[in-house]
Amino acid sequence: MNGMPVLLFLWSFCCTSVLFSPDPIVYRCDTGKVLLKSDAALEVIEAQSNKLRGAIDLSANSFAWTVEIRSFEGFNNRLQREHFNENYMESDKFPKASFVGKIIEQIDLQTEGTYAVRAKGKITVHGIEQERIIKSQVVVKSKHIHVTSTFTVPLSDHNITIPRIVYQKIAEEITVTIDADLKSAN
Amino acid sequence: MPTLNRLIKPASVLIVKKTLSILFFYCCVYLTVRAQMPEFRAHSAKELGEVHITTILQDSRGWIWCGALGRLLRYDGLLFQPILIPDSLQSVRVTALSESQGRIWVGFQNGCIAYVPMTGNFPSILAGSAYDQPMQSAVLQVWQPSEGLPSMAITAFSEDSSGACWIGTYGEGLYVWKDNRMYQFNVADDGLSSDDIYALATDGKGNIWAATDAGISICSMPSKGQKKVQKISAADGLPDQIITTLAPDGQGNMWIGTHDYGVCCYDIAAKHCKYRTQNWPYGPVTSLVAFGKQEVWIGTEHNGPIRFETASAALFTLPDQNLLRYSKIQRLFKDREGLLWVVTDKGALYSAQAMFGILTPTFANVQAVLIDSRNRLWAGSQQGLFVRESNTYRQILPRAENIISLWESPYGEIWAGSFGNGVYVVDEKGALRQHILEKDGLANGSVLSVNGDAQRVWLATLGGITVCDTRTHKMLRDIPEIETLGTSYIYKVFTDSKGRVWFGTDGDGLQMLENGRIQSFTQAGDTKLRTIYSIAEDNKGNIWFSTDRDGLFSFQNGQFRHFTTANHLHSNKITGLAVSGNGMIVIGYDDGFDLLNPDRVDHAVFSELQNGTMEVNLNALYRDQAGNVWIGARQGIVRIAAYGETFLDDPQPDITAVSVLMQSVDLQQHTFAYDQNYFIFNFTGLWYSSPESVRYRYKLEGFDPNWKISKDPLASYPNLPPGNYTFRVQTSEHGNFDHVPETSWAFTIHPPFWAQWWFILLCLLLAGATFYAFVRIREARLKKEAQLKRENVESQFAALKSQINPHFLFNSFNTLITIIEENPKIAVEYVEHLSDFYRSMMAYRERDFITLQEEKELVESFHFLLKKRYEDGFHLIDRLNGHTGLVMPLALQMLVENAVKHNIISSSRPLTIEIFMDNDNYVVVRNNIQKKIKPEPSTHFGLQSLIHRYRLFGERPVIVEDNSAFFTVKVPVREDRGEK
Repeated sequence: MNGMPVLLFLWSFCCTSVLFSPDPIVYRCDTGKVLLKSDAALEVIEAQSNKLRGAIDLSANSFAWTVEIRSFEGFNNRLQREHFNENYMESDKFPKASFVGKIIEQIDLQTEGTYAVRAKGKITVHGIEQERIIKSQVVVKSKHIHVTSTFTVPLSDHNITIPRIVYQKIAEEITVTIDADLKSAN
Repeated sequence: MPTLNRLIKPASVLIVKKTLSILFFYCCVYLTVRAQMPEFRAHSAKELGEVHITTILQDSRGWIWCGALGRLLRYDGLLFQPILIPDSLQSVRVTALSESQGRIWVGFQNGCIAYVPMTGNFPSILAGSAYDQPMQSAVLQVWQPSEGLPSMAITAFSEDSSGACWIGTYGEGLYVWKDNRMYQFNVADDGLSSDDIYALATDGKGNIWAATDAGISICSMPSKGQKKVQKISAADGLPDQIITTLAPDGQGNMWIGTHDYGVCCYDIAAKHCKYRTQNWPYGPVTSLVAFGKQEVWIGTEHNGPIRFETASAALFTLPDQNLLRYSKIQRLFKDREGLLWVVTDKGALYSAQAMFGILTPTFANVQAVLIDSRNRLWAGSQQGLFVRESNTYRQILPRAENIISLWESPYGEIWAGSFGNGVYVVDEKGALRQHILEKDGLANGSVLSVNGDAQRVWLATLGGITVCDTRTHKMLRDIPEIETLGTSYIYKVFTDSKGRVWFGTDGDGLQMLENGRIQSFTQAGDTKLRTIYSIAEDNKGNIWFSTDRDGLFSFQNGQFRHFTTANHLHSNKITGLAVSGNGMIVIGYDDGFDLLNPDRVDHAVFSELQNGTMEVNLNALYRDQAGNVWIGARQGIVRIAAYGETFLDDPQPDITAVSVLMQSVDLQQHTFAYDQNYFIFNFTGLWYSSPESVRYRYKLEGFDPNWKISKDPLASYPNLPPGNYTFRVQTSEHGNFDHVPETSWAFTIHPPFWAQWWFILLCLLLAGATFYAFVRIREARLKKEAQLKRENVESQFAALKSQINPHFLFNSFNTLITIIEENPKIAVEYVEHLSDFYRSMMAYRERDFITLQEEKELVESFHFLLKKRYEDGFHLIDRLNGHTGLVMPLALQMLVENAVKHNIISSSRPLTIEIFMDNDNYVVVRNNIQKKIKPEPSTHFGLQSLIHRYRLFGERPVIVEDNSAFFTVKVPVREDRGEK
């Protein structure tokens, strides 16, 4: 289960490279930023990870992103981080979150420019996979692809249960902001 | 005999053309004379400039919405109202329209999706006003789901059984908006047939059918994110791989339009094509509309709208001269009135009443119609007997016989009654099998009606009834009961579902043969039954019959019901009757026909041809197996389709806007303040069949005593008093407001606060309380006054009484006796003091207050008298020292007297009374206490009265202190302001 997203990630590359595109053009990044924000009635919680790993295959307009849950830092106190990892995300069981899929729009990311794209894929959080369409902003400039996106992840989509009393402190939907800069791997 | 005159008209020249024309005529209604109507009525939005309509929708309130190039319009049948549209979309084509979740959803060519909330106030525009102004309160808003909008054209919307909205795109597959989340179905991930969706439809189970270039995908999302796709392709029996359009018929079938092979009807449960068009030369299908199971309208790319009749599998194009004949149809649409709407690729909009179709055969004056068991049309005219085969009319008989009646026997033979030349029996191919004439025993050569069963054929002639054997065509002469019918005219013979035979006679009423006995009906209620022209049976087994001039009767459970012009029939002179498959009673007249809904008595809709009257011939109405009614008339044949689906038959009222004090109000608001009392109601009667003939009847319940009938969709009420109101509005097409639909809007105008019950109650309570308080205070004052008066009187009386106390006088006289001899001079002085004392007492008793000085003098006189009596036993020490002020008369004297009265006075134990002022402006009378062993009888009246009187005057209280040594009384001194 732990290696699942990574396998998927690799598999998607194999597929695209072997079957569909003789010459995959892959852009990668290892230090993308992910910001989580829970804006509940009583408390605002923010956490950040700088270890978002991602890759885009320009020839197939497919992509894969993954982040380790334990890499999130921030929170309002240490206990909160512990709860996050142990009670809610169960990071030992589900160490990673991922989003793997394709870009809906038929665009050529090899051409420089700014694009609003919709990425359709499967987001896996807490071991639960959900199909999502996520709107992103993509800027292609001098062999760099800069991706930014903001979307929400409802806890209920991923079987993350919050004890009733804690509801006032944790929002039912977590706002996720992605900011990553990918470089050509070729 | 007006009927016979019509029958004996000369035959005109017979011309049989090779083509069959079907004209569609617009249903003209009672009181509306419409000449030169086109078959399809064009709806033009020219007032708005260049409007290129692309798609059409009818919302749940009944409004027609039109999507156009850069525009969205709402149409009421007369005027198009533009909706304000964002600048970014003003040159983009609207490609899809749908209603879902209380919104009108609008899909655009560029992938944008926008909506208009339906809850808004949509004031209907009055004729003459500036209606090209976009509606103020209705604004198209761009939808902004967090997932973003598609970037390819939106081709269709559909809603599944869970309420999720499905969006078809051309290039991005299918999107689903479910539980506030957008999902996509495409070829690569989900196995969709193609990412180019042409059309969407929802089947009876709530699954979404998507029409694509590669067949059909049936999609569903049973729960969030769970996708199911099932494909149907040419391999599964579809006639073509390219599916262009879909239309569910609501009865378990899906009509499928293809690019090259016409249409097919797919049975959803059985998963196969039931029917399909054979030999399709008409090119790509663009749109489909199913009317029940019987009929499908096919929009084509090159051949206009085409009617497909399922029973005969026949296709009917429009006549060549029709302007829609070769146009490209963008979209076909069926509204809730049964109108067929057509949008062409030129952006034009048309509508037609699909239920009525007129055939204009090449021969004139159709006197009898029949659809045989092979679904062929037979028609009898003055020019002969014809059968329609492959869109042409074939003359059956060798000569132009005047055919006036037709019947098909259970053996497939057609019996055709002629006027004057007996009955022809022809087989299904049209070969003559028998010609029965008067010489063969036919009662009369003119056969007005033929009917029967597998054994007997009844021939109604101008000379009575003749009966034949159905199979052998031989005369049956052994039926004595028919002789009672006599030899006069029989207009109609009719065999009902129970095997009874009914006869419409000339002058002898209705006759019925049952179990070998004739029963005669000559009286129906108050009406004498004479000439019966026509007889029909409705779908519930009730018999309907019509008369030459007394209107229509129904006969059910032994009871007659009579319908005349008083029940809104067009005329009492009825030429024929038939009951359609959906239960409508079709009534023919000399100038048109009525459709009477038997479930809604008093509600008949009259129709006539657009080019003038339609003369329905005697008993030339026929109901076919499918339930359609065919009417033979001078001008041709009219088909009234029984679609097996119900359409509205009245204009539907809708309150579109309410304004208060010239300001539009939200229709959700129902309460208003007392000064919000100027109401204007905008309403409309949606009736696209004939929008200009809608009449309104309205009433403001709580204000109007009676209904008002109006042509204007507006009612205004200035200055409504506070109260509860309900504005009711009804609509009717023909001015008959019995059993018509109604809508209402209730509201309350609150009275002002000063007219509210609680305020009035409060005021009343307050007034009551004030009055009560006033009465109470006055009562108390009066009581106080009375008491004061009484106290005064009592005190005066007491004072007097004490002064003329015999003891006092006796003592005074004893004292006088003792001094009168010793010291006459003193005695004189004594008497003087005594008399002074009495005089003062008499003088002061009337006054409320006297000065301290006056009281002091009084006390001094008294003191003198006492001193003379008790000598050294009594001391009065007066230390008032000329203080001024007012006290009650005799107050101090009384206190002194009390002291004397209650204490032992002797020279060994002298009584000392001190009178002085204290610091609080009290005059203090204090004496030492040496109580008599035997106290004088006392009423204690004096002191009590004093205390009481001071209280009544509202003075400071009199203070009494009684310790063992001294008895002290403090009397308040009132300031002397010089008044008397």
